[in-house]
Amino acid sequence: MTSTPAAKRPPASRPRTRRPANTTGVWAGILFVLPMLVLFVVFRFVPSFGAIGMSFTDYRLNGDFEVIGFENYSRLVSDPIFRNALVTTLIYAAFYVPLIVVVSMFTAVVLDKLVWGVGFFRGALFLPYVTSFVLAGVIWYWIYSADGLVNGLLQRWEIDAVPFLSGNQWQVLGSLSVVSVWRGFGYSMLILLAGLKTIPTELTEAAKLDGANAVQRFFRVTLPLLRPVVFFVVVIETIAAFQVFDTVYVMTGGGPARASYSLVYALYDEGFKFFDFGYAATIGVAIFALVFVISVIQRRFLDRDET
Amino acid sequence: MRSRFLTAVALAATAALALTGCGSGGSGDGGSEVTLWMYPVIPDQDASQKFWADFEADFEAENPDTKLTIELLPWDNREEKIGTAIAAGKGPDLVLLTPDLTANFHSTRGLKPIGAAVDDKSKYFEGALAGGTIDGEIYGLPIYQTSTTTVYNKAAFAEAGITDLPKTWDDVLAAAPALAAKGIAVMDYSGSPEVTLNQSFYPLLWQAGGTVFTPDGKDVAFDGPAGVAALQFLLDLQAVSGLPADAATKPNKVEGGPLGLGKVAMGYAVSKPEAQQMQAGVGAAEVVVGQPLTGAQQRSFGTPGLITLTTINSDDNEEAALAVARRLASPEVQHELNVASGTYPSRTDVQAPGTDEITTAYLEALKFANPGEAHPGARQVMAALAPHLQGALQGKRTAAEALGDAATEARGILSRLR
Repeated sequence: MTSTPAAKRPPASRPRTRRPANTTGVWAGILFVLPMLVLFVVFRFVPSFGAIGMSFTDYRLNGDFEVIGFENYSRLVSDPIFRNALVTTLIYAAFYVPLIVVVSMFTAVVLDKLVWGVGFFRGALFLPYVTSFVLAGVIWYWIYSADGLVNGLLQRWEIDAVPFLSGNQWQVLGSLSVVSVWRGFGYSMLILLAGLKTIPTELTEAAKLDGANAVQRFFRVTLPLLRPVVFFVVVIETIAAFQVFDTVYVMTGGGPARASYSLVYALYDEGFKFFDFGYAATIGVAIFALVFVISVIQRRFLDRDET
Repeated sequence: MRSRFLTAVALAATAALALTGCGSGGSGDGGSEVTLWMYPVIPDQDASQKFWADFEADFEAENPDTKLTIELLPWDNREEKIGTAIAAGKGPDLVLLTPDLTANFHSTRGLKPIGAAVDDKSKYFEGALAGGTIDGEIYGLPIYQTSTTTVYNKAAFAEAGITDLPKTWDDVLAAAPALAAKGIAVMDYSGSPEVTLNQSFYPLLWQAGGTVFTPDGKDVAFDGPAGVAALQFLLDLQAVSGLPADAATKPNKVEGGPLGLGKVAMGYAVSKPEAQQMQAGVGAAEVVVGQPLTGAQQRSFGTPGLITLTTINSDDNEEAALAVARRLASPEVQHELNVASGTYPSRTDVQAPGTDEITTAYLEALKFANPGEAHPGARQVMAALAPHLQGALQGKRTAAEALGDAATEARGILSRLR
């Protein structure tokens, strides 16, 4: 197939009349996203690249620094505390991610089926997400404490007290996961609810006419159609699990005996308690790499056919 | 036209956001501005605010060319906040620290010498001045001293039929079973990682005759026989329900805590304000302030409050900051602060804050006080040791194993100190 030069080249007058209008529109668009772009560059991009640079230095409190090459990275590889924090974070993620996906999905499905009070219940379920976690943490600390609400009820039923925050690592991380899920499920619930609203009702009605029960309709129709949204939720909640800090900070301080000492807690200690900013930045880079790799793996398994 | 208007709006919004993110303060009226970060040395909030507002006003009246700003901050996360401020170059010229934190911030190059604020070294208690001295140079000016000692709930002991209050570790161990039978733990212990070991494990280590670091500071020494004995003392007490059930993880709050509620019979590192909280909780007549416990030695924790000069302070502003420090350390201000806060003087020419029984007992306890081991890695070593102490209290490790593991970790930290 060939084309004539005339066909390749539009009339000379067209670009003169259309290009300025297009350019103005493009520039206006850029300017409208510019505020967010500036904030993103200033507060995300620059610090991220700064952290990567800092990870190759011994950075002192007064701004003095010395370039030390890969010394921080070789320390990271042989650091038992980092390894412990990595295992702790993985165990926490193993508790947290499935639990929050299930809870978010369940509440989203229930909200989707509600015929009245949807706004109220959606607001009520989203409330923990916007509640001050320092206050909520104090209440949860009391709920979990040796003479708190749960153990008080258990004692009334003559069941031994459970050391939620002072027991073994599985007990502590499980307990912390429940608190984090309570706090965070509202956000994922809203995303899943929005996804559920996009599924045509004809499909589930057709399945119903074909004799599928509610469970079959959910697993055979709704869930497959919701897979891109579920993938998104799994990715953001995995990232949230790897970034766990405030729940640990408020509830256990990383203890007992480092049972809840997460990767970000290790970063915080190195950076803001010991002022070893270079090593803290190295831990940050490692967390970024881990989350990136896990997200890619999740995409490979959960999002094969979509997007 | 509409497009241009919208473009202008977008540009303005961008500029406003960018400027909001990059704003900075600063004035240039020719005078000096000094910022001091102070903490709740005076526990009563209203009294604290009044005391420091009065100090600020009095200082500015005497030094009209200096604008003094005293910011009152909570104790929580003190080192993180100071470290972040110094790293950002925005924060206090002067800040109150303890000896170990002074050593820490000195090693991270966050402090300037403050020796020029010392009028006469001979007027200071030797130990108080030593707490802020690093390599022969003064980096911390002591403006008061704290004292901790043993405080008893007499009624709790009486309930268990014990009339002679325990003065030694053996006495404490002997009293534990009778109190446990009444549902009362004999001694408080707070193992939360957020509690400084200066107020939890270290006093016991010192009482056992041990130290955290070797005398040359090149190695840790807490894993020696004294350290094992101190931790074993806690484990032995725990075995007979002599510690609170959540001793491994609990914070050290007296008000609302087991000491304040009468669920624990004594504390071995209790400050005067905490003793007063205990009085409010269990009744003033029931609280007895004793002397530090004796293990192999009679020791307690008592430390100078040190005013330090940060690297945020510019050379132009240094003299004004030193003037504030001198005023804070003066005998008259120290006396007023001691009376208001329940602390004690750091210099010999300051009038004693009182002659009542409790004040006298705390002053007496200062003779046995260890100010904390000032070492550049003191806080990192604490962070390494605390989880292993928790592990031992949870029954996961023996005393020797826990301290051995902690020492291995601590030696790694010391080897990295540059």
